[in-house]
Amino acid sequence: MENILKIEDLYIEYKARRGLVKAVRGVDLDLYKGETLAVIGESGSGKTTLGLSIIKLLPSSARISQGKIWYQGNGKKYEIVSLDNSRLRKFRWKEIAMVFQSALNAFNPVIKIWDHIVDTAESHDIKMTREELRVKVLELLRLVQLDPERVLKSYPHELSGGMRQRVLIALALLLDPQIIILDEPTTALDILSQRSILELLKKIKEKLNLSIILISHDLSLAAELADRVAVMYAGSLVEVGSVYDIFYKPLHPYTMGLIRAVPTVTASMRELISIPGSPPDLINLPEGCKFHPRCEYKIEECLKEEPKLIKASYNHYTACIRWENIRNGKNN
Amino acid sequence: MEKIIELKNISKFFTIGGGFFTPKKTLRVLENLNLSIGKGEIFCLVGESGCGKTTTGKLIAGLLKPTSGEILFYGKDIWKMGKEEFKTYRRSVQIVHQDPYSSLNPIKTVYDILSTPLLKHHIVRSNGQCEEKISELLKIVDLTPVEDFIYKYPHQLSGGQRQRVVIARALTLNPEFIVADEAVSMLDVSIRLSIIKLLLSLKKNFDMTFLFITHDLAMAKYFGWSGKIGVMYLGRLVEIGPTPKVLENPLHPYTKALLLAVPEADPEVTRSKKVMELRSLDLPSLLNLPPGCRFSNRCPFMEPGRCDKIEPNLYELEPEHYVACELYGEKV
Repeated sequence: MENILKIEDLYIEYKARRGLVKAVRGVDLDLYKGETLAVIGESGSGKTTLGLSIIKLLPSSARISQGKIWYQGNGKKYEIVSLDNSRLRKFRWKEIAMVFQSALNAFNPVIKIWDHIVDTAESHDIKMTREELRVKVLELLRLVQLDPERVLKSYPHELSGGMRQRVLIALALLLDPQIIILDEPTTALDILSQRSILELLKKIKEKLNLSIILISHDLSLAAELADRVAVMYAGSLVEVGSVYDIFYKPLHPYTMGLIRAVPTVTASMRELISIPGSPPDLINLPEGCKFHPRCEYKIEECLKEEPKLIKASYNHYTACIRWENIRNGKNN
Repeated sequence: MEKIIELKNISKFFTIGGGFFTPKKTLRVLENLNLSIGKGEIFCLVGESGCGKTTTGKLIAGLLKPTSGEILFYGKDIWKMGKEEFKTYRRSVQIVHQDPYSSLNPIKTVYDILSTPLLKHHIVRSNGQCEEKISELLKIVDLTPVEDFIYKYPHQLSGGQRQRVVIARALTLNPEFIVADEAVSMLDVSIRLSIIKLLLSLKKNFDMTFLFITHDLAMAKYFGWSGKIGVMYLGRLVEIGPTPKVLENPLHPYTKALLLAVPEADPEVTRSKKVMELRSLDLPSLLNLPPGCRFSNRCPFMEPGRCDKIEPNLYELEPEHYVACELYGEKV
């Protein structure tokens, strides 16, 4: 399979009054062309920071201290971490676009949707006349199942949450990107609007052959959309594998814990087990494996060295030295 | 079972506008709501945002006065109670809000937060007794060792710990009834379940009655399996019944649509769902409600001339399982 994005040994830190917050630590991750990769993790696990670093849109308090991000698509090859501002402008949105969290705050409340779209187009210097742009926008809005004439004349507050989310998706598609990063695309939405956004994303992905990175805390979104899933904990990837491997044959105690803690609606009623303890402080991380204080599979060795991702089977990686015991269902 | 709370033909309207330029408008948030909750029962209220579930919770907690109708507490109308009686009622019904970050005063320690209601309502007589009672409460909500938490400020606690403090505060006045309004929605997956288990232990150990308000059907299923569920849509209860019956044999088209739309944390289950196509994606505004059944403009089974003309009656299809849909009219 062809790599469209390759993240190599990435480290990102935030400066805080108490010290350095190690938000992303040693992440290695590939994105293949045409796949949907879900990055799941709880708040503070570094998943949004990772997503922002891919389009180099980190806040000024953050610093990429190490690592490279390679992009290869559209016949071009870039190393994103070293891109300067003028080249980033040409890169962002044309190659990789992002749909941000909370659709309400993503818009300027005092300008109409059409002006918003014109602004986006102009700031990424596209060579398109207003007429051409209009034709393109009408087509995109129809693709996301909106009534273009009404939406373009509206202010953001005149649209419902689901409609705003559709406009954001259309806006991300404006410059025909190869990759779309979706950060919690449906968190603020109701069940029925969430469903229509999910169906829309599936349709768009198929039609435009996009590669998608889906960032979410919601396991059910990953189960619904993803081809592959990467699980993040305390800034590192703890398990990467196909969606079926992750949900049915998890090999990291944290992934297992997450799946056992989430109830389902239509499946039969089963007992749920919570993960003891709480996530670690990112300034004072524990020694060794960062999950060991909460882990039922912990042995002495886990406290010594932080495990790297180990290949357990084809396309299935886990950062746990006891993965064979987990696979065989033994804990001794 | 003795009825602890009963709502009879409750309606709640809000007036908006009425300024110099804007005409007065009436928002019909709740209309003709009837429900009763037995002592020690768990009643889950599910629905999308804006359907009136939080308003129902506030009405039951006595924080809002209904426009018309009666709220009975052990058979007595709470708005016709004498001052002392009303005080006892307010003490017996406590509310746990959604956001543990904004429902605790940031400049008060856990001790202050819990001691204020204890002293104000003369639950304890001396400071020594107060400390004793507080450590007892903290033990109930699993914030142990108590010394580690009692003098902490909210910002020193994690989201899950804060929600435990909020629950401890709700327990200070020995209530019989707790309104949990989206009490776990803001928390991370791994923390959510432990709070749910804490609430379940309160039911078991203190025979606590719950109104559990949520938009998360899976949580409602897990928490309320032994109780009842009420599905709300635009200010009306469309279906009520024992939780297993409603979830395994949904009757109202809206309940069916919700259950088919919700993504689940199991790839095979979620991908094999056949989503119901609605006739309209958007939720109608409360200012402009469709005539007849409020779901009629979106319902795929709508029968013109009936559903969009007459207000649906509540039909009992199985024992204790009610549905407000005219399509069942002939079957009964």
